[in-house]
Amino acid sequence: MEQRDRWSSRTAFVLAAIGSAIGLGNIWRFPYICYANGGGAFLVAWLVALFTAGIPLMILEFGLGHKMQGSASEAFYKTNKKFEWFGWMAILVGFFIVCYYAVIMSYCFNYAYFSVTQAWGENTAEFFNQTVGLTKGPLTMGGIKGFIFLGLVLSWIAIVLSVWKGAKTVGKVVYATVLIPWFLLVVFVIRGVTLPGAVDGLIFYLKPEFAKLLKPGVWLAAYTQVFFSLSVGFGIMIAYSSFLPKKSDLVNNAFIISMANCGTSFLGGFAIFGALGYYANLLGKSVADVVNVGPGLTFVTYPHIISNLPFWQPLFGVLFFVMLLTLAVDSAFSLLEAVAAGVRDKWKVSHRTANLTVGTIALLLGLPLTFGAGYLWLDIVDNFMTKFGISIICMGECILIGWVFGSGKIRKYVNSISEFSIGKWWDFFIRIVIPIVLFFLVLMEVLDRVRSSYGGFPRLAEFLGGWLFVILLPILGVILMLIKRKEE
Amino acid sequence: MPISAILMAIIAAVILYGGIIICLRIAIKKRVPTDHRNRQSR
Repeated sequence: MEQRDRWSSRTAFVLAAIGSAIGLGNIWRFPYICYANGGGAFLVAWLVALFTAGIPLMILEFGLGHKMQGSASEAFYKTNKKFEWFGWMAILVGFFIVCYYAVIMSYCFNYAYFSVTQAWGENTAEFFNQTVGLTKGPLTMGGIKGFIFLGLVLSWIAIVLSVWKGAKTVGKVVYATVLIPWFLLVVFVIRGVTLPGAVDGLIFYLKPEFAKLLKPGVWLAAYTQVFFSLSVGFGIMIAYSSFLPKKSDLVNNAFIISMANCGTSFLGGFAIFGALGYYANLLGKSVADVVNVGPGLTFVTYPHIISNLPFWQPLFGVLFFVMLLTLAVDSAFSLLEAVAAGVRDKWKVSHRTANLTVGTIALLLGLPLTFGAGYLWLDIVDNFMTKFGISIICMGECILIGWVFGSGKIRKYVNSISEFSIGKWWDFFIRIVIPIVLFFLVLMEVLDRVRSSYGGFPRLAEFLGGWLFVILLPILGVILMLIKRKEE
Repeated sequence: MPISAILMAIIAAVILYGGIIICLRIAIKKRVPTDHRNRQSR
């Protein structure tokens, strides 16, 4: 009988979980969401969301994985054989996400190379469109972009090698993939806040508008940000905690990991808004006119800022995209590991077989995204997987564990091995608060999609890139459950 | 820079980074020397 993977140390586990949680969203999403939802006042809603939803969910996943000693599918199978399909659904959300996450890593690889000469020139928006070969709509596929494809292959080599021997390899790789981006982030914070005009940007980022706290939308944005940034709902934390030895703290680790993730987002805002303040000053515009989010920030606005830095532009350019790559790679390989752990647990295959099989299928599924319309498809899939996939999984986890399996069992279990205990307040958040908040998130998104298609894309594209994947989740979950497992 | 913005930043930083420091102190204080190598089979 093959022994279960074990982390080499507590530090390795904590860094791996932090690395999984910290991703591109901490840099390209959080600062903008904070600015757009009341600045400093948003921080209040965000911290409340962290302690009432993020950390309780993290404890739930850690408790479930550690108690059941299995990946998401295995853990749910052990709670009740009929729930296995739900565990596979969680794994599949992560699998679909890693398919396009690797494509974004490919963009970062390309831009790290472009940074040396600042190949993007003055019109960075046009350059990005040419780089990805953007077509006029998702239904016009265009041709394959060779360098994006090459970057995708490189990304997958990096991802697969990082999880080659499971937790053993991951535990070593994370020292680099967590500590390097933290160091680089500090470099960019110092660079950002010392630029002329940076204060203007920081005012936009942090000036509180307390009246906005009365708007439900701001609270929903805060909860959304917390749910999507902690890597819960993909089965990653369930798989990672199952690699912990018997005597392991779960509660304290959940607090450390969640706060480290949010602390990184908070710090990232200084780097981004400091640079945006400088950029706005340079153009003689308001920060509100130059602010951007997502790929638009990192591949259009930021390259222009890099070109206009006072000195060492190529160095800062390369370091910025290396920071993004190192931020992204540990999130990507944690997604692969969550899937591979599910495959290993059910069919008892080796690490190599599981990693290569899952990695190859994901690479092939990501191939269409290297075509001209790929960026648009990526946008649609991303929206549906995050807004529906993660929300439905987190809601289902809370209902199945909170109401059916019994949250009390998990609470007693984590308290028996943790450095400090959680009270019955935790059950209240798991059984009541989180499902209600997530229900409203899903409901609002459904209503939005009924009113208009996502991003104004044609309904056919929205269906093929969005709804179809959401429908496929339970169907594929049931199919994977029905495939015969290999007994030990 | 408005004083309210600075205050909000300080409060957030104290809660997040202060929280991490407290948790790390607890972890160090309650540290039990354990052998993490393959102690538990499935």
